[in-house]
Amino acid sequence: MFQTRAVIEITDEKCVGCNVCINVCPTDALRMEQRLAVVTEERCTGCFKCIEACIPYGAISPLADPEPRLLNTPEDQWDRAAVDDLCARAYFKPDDSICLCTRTTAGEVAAATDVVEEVTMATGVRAVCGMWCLSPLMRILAAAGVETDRPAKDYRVYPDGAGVDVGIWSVPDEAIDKYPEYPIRADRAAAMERGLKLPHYPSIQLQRLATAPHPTAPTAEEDTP
Amino acid sequence: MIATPQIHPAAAPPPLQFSRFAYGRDAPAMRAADLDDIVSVDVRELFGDVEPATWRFGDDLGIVRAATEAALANVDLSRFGRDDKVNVLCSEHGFSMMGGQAYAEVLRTTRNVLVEQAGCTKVQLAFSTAGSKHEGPELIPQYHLDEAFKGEVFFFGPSDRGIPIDTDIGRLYGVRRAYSADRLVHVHYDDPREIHFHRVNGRSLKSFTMSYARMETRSIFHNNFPTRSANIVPRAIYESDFVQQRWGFAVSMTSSPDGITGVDADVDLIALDRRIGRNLLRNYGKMLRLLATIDECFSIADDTRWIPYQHAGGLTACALLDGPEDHLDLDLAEIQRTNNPAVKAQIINSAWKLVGPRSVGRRSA
Repeated sequence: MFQTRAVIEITDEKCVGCNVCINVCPTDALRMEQRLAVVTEERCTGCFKCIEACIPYGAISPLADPEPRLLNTPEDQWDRAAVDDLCARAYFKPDDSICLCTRTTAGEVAAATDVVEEVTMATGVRAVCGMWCLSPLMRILAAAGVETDRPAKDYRVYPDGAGVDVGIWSVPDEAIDKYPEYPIRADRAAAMERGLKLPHYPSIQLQRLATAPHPTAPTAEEDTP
Repeated sequence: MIATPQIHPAAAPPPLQFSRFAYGRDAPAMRAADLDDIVSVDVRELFGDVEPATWRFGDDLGIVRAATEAALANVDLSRFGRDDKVNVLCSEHGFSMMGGQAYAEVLRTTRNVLVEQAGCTKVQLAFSTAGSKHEGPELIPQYHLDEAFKGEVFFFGPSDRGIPIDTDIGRLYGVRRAYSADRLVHVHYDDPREIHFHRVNGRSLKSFTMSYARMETRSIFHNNFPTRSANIVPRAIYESDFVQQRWGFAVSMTSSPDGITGVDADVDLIALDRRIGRNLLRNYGKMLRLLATIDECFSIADDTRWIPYQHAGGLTACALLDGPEDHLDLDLAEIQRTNNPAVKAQIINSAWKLVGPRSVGRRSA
């Protein structure tokens, strides 16, 4: 859940039509018209990524949101069983907060699965810094079967590196043995046994792996350190 | 080893400068050091075995320059060709140590050694911003790095165009421009931020996820691994064929709670990291335990950046705020971060990333 506080405005005289702002916008709020950036204000969450991307041109400025919006998918609209199942398949508990900035929960994202930009509009996840929450968001979308296809030149999200396939549940044995300083097996066993609570971040719940192993993860019995 | 602690007048911190990314507009008019009855203690009077500083804010930077040159004298530069494009990678966080001048001097000297001793003609500074790309245009001229690198300077952030890096643990993404070079030189500091958090298990590697990586990989580092094992992510990037094919060497400014203690360098980043880890544990472990003994305090954070990254005596405010448990205990699978009940109030004397209300405009009627 996120309440917008700011939007952006564009100074046409300073816009060079480079497209960079479009490639950092988490909600498709920007588009080009006649080589000038144009904002759809009701889709802007005030993350200011475009302002930073516009350095040194300075064509984009922050503006207090004239009509603050609540980005939210209320719990009474959730299909609770489906949400619980989806969160478990993405290794979360539904009440895990997956977004450091907005405190959007895994359950809220699971209830609003759609293409990634629309999930931001529906829940607020990625609406501010967009950095810490990206992997949890993409894990839930992948578990829901939502595909994120992007052309090569589009770098808003790289789906093949977004954290669906890289985690303590998937580190190959050869890598675990190659880098023994990092106790992957012990951490994985703890996450399978009781779930691992991370400071500031959502927990890692791998209990499901004991009955439905990840293709690259060992079973609980094999993984006991 | 407890020496004989004395009460000293308030230490004068490095002055705050204009910073749009830190304050929106103006720096605070008053700081903690300006309060009545504020005093200082000298960490070496508390712990006599803390490594003594060789440089503190205001000292002659020639000391840092000489230390950097001495460290680099032991580094094999034969991998560098005259026409190689060399990216000197730096992280904004290094400038948060004692005013940042020492880190800037390490960068300048490293560039000069590459030019003068390795004969490199295409050396550029690749400046990783942390919280806002506004840091680049502010800090690069502030430390005269544009002059030192003859204008060959650029800055980048986690949302910039990426490049895939296939590693032992799977596909990760770096920032394309950071890695667009024939040779990479990783210039960092020993990074006592978060030593309570990542168990001093790969501190020198973190930049490969949190400075030079795209947002996807940063999110993997924080969310898909617990802190005890998360540094396998930057380790896998560093060990990847992609990075090793471009690898030059690493330089690290070292510190103790007393100040800057020197400079270390190595072609082998893992060897360098182990030396740095040893020094961090020796110099900062006792400071962590000292903070845990405080019964009651108020904490004032009035440098720039967010609370986890504001240094005092090398440690960040979070080492105090995160509670009294032993965060260096490798037997703990998870750290239960709790608010330290000894901290009765935390005063934040700055804003960050344009969030101050004065930095946001209002549409005219």
